[in-house]
Amino acid sequence: MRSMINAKQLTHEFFRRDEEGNVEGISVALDHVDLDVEPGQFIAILGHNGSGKSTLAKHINALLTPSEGTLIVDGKDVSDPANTLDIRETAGMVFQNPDNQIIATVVEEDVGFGPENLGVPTDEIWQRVEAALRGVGMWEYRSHSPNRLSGGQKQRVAIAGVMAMEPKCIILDEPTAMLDPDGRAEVIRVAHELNEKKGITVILITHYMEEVVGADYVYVMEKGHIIMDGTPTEIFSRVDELIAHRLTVPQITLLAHKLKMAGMDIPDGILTREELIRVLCRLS
Amino acid sequence: MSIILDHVTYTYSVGTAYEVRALDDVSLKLDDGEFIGIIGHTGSGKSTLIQHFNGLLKATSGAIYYNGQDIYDRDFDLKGLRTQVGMVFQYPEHQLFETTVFEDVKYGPKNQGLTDKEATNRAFDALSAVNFPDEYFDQSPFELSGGQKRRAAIAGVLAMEPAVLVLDEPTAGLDPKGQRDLLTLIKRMHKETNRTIILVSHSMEDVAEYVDRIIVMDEGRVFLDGTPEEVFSHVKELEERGLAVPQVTYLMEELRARGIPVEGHATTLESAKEEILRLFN
Amino acid sequence: MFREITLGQYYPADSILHRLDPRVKLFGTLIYIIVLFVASEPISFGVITAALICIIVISKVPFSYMTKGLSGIVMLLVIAGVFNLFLTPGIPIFKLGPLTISDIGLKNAAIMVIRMVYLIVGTSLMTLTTTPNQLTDGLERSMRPMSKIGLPVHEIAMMMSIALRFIPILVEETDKIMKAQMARGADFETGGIIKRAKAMVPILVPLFVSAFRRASDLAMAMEARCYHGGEGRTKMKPLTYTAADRVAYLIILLFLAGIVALSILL
Repeated sequence: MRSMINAKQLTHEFFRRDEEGNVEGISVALDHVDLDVEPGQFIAILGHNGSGKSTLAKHINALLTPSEGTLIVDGKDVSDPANTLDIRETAGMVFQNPDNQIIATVVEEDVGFGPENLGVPTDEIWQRVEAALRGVGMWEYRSHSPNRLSGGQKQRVAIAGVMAMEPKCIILDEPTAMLDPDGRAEVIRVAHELNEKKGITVILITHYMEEVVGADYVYVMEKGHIIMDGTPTEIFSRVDELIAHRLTVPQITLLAHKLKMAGMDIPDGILTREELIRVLCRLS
Repeated sequence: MSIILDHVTYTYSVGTAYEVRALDDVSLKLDDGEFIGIIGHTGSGKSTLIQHFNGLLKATSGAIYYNGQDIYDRDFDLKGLRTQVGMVFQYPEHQLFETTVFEDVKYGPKNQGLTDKEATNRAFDALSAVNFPDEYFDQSPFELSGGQKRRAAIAGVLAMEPAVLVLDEPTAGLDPKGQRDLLTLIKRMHKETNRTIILVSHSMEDVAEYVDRIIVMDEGRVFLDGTPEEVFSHVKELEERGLAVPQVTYLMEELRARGIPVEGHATTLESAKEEILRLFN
Repeated sequence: MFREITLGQYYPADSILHRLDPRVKLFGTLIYIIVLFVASEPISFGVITAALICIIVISKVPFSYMTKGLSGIVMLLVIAGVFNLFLTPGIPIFKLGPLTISDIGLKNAAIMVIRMVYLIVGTSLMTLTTTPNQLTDGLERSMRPMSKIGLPVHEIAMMMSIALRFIPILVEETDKIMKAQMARGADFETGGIIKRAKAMVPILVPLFVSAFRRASDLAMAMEARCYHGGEGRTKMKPLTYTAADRVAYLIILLFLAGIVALSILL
C-alpha cells in the first residue's frame, strides 16, 4: 500500500538574522527525520514547544519545504511547487488558535471557503458544507457567527472547513492547546470519529499525553529529532525515559508505575483507569 | 488581612437582551496566606468573580471588604487596591509592551509612584522570584520563548508586591514542562512569602496537587468550598455538573465500589499510592 | 463597554430582506440616501417614514436592537438640532432671553434630526440584514467593471470582509488589555492630553503586536486552505437575481419616482 506520508531524512533549517537582516546563524528545526504514515492511521506526535513538531506539520501541508531530504504526501513531492495546491487539498491543516483561522463571519461561509478556492461548483459546495458540518456535529450552528461559539465549537468549525475540501489526511497542530477540558474532549472525539467513520488519516500534534492514548502510533520529538516511537502502550511503558525528557505521563500511568516500583506486580504501560482497576482487583 | 464578599451579585449588560447574571449571591471569606484554587466550567463565573477582588468589576449588588474596609466606599483607594491584589490575567504575555523586559516589569511599580531606583529594585527582585534568567533582562519581551514571556509578565505584577496574587489559568497554552515549572514556582512562592494565592484552573489534578482550599463555581454560585479532600468527596455532584475529579480519586472510588476497603478520599498521586500500598501489603 | 456597539452588526433572521440580493440592497440604500436629501416637505417625509416602517417590519430585526445603536450619537443629534434651532434666521415664534426660535429654524432642526436618524436607521438596516460576506460580494460584483482599469476589486473585497470579521475580536482584546494594564496600576482617566496619550502606549503596543500575529496566522490558515487569489475561485453563494429582487428594484424605482414627483408638484 502506498504511504500517505513518507519522510526520508527530512531536514529544515531556519536562518537566524540580526537586526540588519544579516544571517547570524542557522538553527535546525528538523534534523534528518524519517517517518512513515499509512492511509487510515491515527498518528500522534508529541513534544515540547520548539521540538520541531509544528515545523514538521507545516511541511506536510506544503507551508514549508525541506532544506534537505524528501517528503512525499500521497505520492506527491512537497518540494515541487507544482504540487502545492494538490497537497493542501489532500492533507488539510487545523491550527492552534481557533480565532485566527476562521475567515468568514458566518459558520457555513467559512466552511465553504476551501471549496471556493478549489473551484468546486456551487451546488457541490453546499453538499460538501452540509456533510462537513454534520460530520463535526455543527450543522445546527451553520448560520451563527463564529464569535459567539465556544473554543471547542470554533475548532470543530475549523475541522469542518478542512473536511469540506475532502482531504485524505488531516493534520491537527495543537488543536486543543487553547481550549478548556470540555473543548479538548470535543475536538479529540471528532478527530477519532473522522478517522473511524470516514477513514481519514489523522496526524495529531499535541503536548497533552492524555490525548495520544487512543492513537495507533506515537512519535515523540525533541530538538528536531524523533526520540521515541511506538504504540501508546509501548511509549507509556517507558515512564522513566518520558520523565527524563520532562514529558508528563497520564496520572494513572504514573501511579501504576510508582506502585510497580514499590514492589507490586503491575505490568508496564497501563493507560486507563479500567486497566489499573482490573489489575488491582486481580491482585486482591 | 482578608477579602470578604457579602452577597455579591453581578449582571452583565443590565437592561438589554443579552443580560446575563454572571455572579449570583456569592458570599466568601478569603483569609491571609491561603492558597486557594477556583474551578468551574467556562462561563461558570470564575473570571467574573476574580475581577471583583481588585475592583475591576463593580458588583451589581452586595458588598466587598478588603481588610475590613468597604471597597465601594467613596474615599476608598481603588487604584491602591489593584496594587494590593495583583491580578495575572490569562495569557498575560499579551500585555507586554516595553522595549526591554526590565522596563516592562518596572511599569507597575512606577504607576505606584515609586522612584526609578525603587522600581528598579522591585523589578530585579520580581524577576529573580520567577527565576527569570538575568541575561535576558535587557532583551525585548517580544523575542522571548512562550514560557519566558509568561514569567516576565507575572514578574510585572509581582513587582508591585501585592499581598494577594490572583492568577487566571497561568499555565494555559504552555507545554507540560512549562506548566509544571510554573506551578512549582507558584507553590514555592506561597511557602516562602506566605502571600495569599488564588489560582483559577481547569485542571483538577493540578488543583488537587497544589492548593489547600478549593472553591467550585457553578452557574454563578459557589457550589462547593473546602479542602481538596472534602470537595472531591462529592464525586457524584461534581459529575452531575459535568466537572471531573482527579483521575486517582475516581480510581479509589471505583475500587471501593468493587468491595476493596479504601479509606478516605485520595486526591493526589502520593496519597493514592500510600493507600493502595497499605491495602495490598 | 465596547461590546455594546451594535450599530450595523449583522442580525441573523429569516426575512425577505435578508434573502434579497446584496446588490439590490446596495442600490436601494443609495436611492434611499438620495431621497432623504431631496425630500423637504412633510408629505415626502410621511412617505419615507411609511416606507421605513414597512422595511423595519419586514426585516424581522427587533426595533430596540436598532435604536440601541443610536444612543451613541444622541449628543451629536442634540448639538446639530440646537444649532439649527437657534441660529436660523426667520420669523420668531419663541423667545427666551437672547435665544430666538424661528419658524424656519424649527423646521430645519426637525428635518435635520429626522434626516440623521433616518440615515442611520436606514443604512444600518442594510448591514443588519446582509452578512459582511454578502456585502463584500455585492460590492465586488457591482465594482467588477473597475477591475478592467486595474483596480484589485477581489483583493479589496477580501480585505473588507476580513476586517469585518476581526473588528469584534480586536474590540474585545482592547478591553482585556485595558483591564490588565489597570491591574498594573495604569490610569487612563486623569491628567492632561499628553499624559493621557502616553497612557495609551501600554494598550496600543500589545494591540498592534496581537493584530500582526493574527494577520500572519490568518494568512497561513488561508494558504493552507488553498487560497490563491481570486482566479479560478467559485462562489458558495453566487449572486443571481430572483423574481423577488426584480420586484424590489421596481419598488425602489417607484419610490424614487414618487418622492421626486412629490417634490416637483409641491
